[in-house]
Amino acid sequence: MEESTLMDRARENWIGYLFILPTFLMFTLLFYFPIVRGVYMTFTNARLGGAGTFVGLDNYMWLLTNDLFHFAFGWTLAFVFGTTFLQLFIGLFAALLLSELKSGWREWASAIVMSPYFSAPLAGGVIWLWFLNSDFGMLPRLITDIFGVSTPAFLAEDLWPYVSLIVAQSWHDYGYAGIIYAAAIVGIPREQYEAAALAGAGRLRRFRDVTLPHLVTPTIVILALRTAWNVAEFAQPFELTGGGPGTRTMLMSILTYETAYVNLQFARAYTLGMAMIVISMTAAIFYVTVIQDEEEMYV
Amino acid sequence: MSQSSTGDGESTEPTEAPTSDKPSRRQFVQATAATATVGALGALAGCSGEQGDGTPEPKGDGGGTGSGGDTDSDSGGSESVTIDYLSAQAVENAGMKSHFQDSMKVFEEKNGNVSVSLQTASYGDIRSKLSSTVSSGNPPTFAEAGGGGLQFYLNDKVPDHKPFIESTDFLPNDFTAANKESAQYRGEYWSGGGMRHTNSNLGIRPKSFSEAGVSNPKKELSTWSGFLDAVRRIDKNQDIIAYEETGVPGDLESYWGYARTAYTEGTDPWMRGEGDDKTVVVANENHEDRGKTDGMIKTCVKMANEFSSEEAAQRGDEDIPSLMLTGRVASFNYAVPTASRWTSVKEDVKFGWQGGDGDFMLLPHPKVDSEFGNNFGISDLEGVEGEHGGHMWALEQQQCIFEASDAKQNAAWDLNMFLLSDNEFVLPAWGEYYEALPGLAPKLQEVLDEYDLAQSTEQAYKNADEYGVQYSTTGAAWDVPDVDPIRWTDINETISQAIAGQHSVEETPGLVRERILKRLGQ
Repeated sequence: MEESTLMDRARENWIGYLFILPTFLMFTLLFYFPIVRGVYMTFTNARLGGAGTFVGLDNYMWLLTNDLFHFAFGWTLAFVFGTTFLQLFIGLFAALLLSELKSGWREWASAIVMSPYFSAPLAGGVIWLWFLNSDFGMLPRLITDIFGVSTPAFLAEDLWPYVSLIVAQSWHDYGYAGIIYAAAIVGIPREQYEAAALAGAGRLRRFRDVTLPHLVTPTIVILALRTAWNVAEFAQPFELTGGGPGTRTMLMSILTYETAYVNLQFARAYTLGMAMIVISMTAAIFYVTVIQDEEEMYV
Repeated sequence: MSQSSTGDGESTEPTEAPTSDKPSRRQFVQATAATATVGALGALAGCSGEQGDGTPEPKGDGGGTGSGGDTDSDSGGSESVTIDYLSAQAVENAGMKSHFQDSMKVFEEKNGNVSVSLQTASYGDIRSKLSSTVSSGNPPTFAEAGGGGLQFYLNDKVPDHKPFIESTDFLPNDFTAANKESAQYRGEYWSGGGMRHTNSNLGIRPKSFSEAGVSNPKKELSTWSGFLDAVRRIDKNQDIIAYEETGVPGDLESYWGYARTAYTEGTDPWMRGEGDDKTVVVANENHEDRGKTDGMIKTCVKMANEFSSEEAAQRGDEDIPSLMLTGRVASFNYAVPTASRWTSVKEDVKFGWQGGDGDFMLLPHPKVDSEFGNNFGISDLEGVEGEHGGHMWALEQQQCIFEASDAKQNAAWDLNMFLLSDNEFVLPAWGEYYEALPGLAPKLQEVLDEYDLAQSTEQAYKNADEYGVQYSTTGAAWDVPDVDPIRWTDINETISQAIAGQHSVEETPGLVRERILKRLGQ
């Protein structure tokens, strides 16, 4: 049988190609081209306003020998996984609570629960800044008034800045996990719960044996997407600590910003961005591997 | 940054997944993983500065017909032009915003064939906005480019400004010393100057200092030893932060200011030498001035450690007015002429000493006296004496003309002259809406004559005038391409790390030196 060539397929589906052409061109112009150009830039010494010259792997050597990068890499991992898993659990909890509400109430409660997710990250940063501020913040004032003890500086002292950043980011984005989990829970056939109840399964058992299996796929979706986005999270942490005190909470996203816009070294900033991609890709591959293992287990 | 609309759109698909068949799940999850990766790439796509293949005109071409400050001039003949002007100063506060908008109309009336499209960005965002527009090949005609303008000049995105400056009768002579220093790079003009400056000074809460026994602050707080004594008394006896260092890296200009007080006659504390032949003074065992520079770095860290709050390494100057006016902070070293920063917190601020009952008073940074090193336990400063002085902000406000047609460049230069020299703009801007020092030296007296200024503004003016070059712009005289990274990162971030306890006081100057040398490629 004669094999259809690329041209044959193009002739056959030319209308389809025509329809996707504008989108493809725009994606190429605004997305793929900057990415390819950016990757090339990591092999140059490009700075603000200049194309730079080819420097081979110098930027990658700089990255690997830079103490602040080492720290930022480790802290970014802790921030991303701390935030992602906290968002996952809070989102699941919120979705379960919402599923217990009657229709009508549920929609209003959903809107309230999800509202942080729809607020601008910078606004979220300002809210938390004023909430945690040692001098005028509500939380230190409440603790001092109620318990009569002074509070640590939540954004500056000991381990508190790390905790504060993770909690604040989890607050902002748990709604994303909540939305997906809520949709998944609504989609679970009621008959399965009824059958489990008739078989004598208690509330916890029904959750484990009926609800949880239906949540595996949404969980992977949430983990993969939130990991990628949390790696690139910038506005709220920047507003809250700006990587400080000193550089004690320097995330890779903030370091990338500083490298580009304070030190004006765009090529190095993009090289940092490549490291962020590595984290996202590694996490995505890990999650896919986990779901494959899980599927094989069920099969 | 990460919550893109794309992400939201993608979220609708996964919600349907649980009801679908199992065999499709793997494909779906794999697609999700790919999407996640692409999402991260997308976040970076925005960071990719397209570095332009523009073919700039030869430097100096088109600049020679500048109007020389005559804002009634005809820009580029009868051709009507619209110029884009990007400014951060235009949105510093509500008063400045409306003054700028009104002033652009005034400028257009005086230059009938020129229209100005005023674009704004905060000082935090202007560099990224400028970078994006230049990278996309669509730079503004005129912009408050700050230190980034030097990079654009070195990369041929900004023309030589010398022809423009030479076309006037009064430049560069009328530039303030800070502007002369900042607008030049190794003898070449990369900018048309900055329209205003502020300077760093000591700020105190008179109520706290009078309670500590100070009766004549100008005299008693004129030296570091006198200031230290008073701060120690406040720290011991009052429930207040006796001295707050504005120690976030972006606001350690406080240190830039008082680093000069160990020196005399405007000597640069950090770097000396011409061209690429630089001698770094910091932690330089072979340099006679090492002790002065290292000593002031240690003073900064020790003052923060002993008297400041736990949040000093994150403290920004904008926090201080509310803290001082509510009795939480007694002193700091980042006081600027801008009284509106204080009146925006409390309308009836009592400026000045006011018999020891004032809310806020501005003084020169204390000068290093021969006893200070011994008094504060910093051996490097033993026997050292310096002068009053401080940091003058000038690099940040430098305004550049970008590559454009001759007519547009000339119109942009006219706008620059208007902003520098037209009293209709200059006097209200720096005397009323955002109290600051004008970019042209003769205008300083005119503002003083026109307005009844708050004590803090008037004293800041006097300090800049009385102590002359001792109030200088940090880094402008270095003439190195990496002036901003050295100032903000190598010096400030390293000191901020020390305040945050990431390394010791003693090792801080050595680390600063190491980072500067690495930056300079030495």
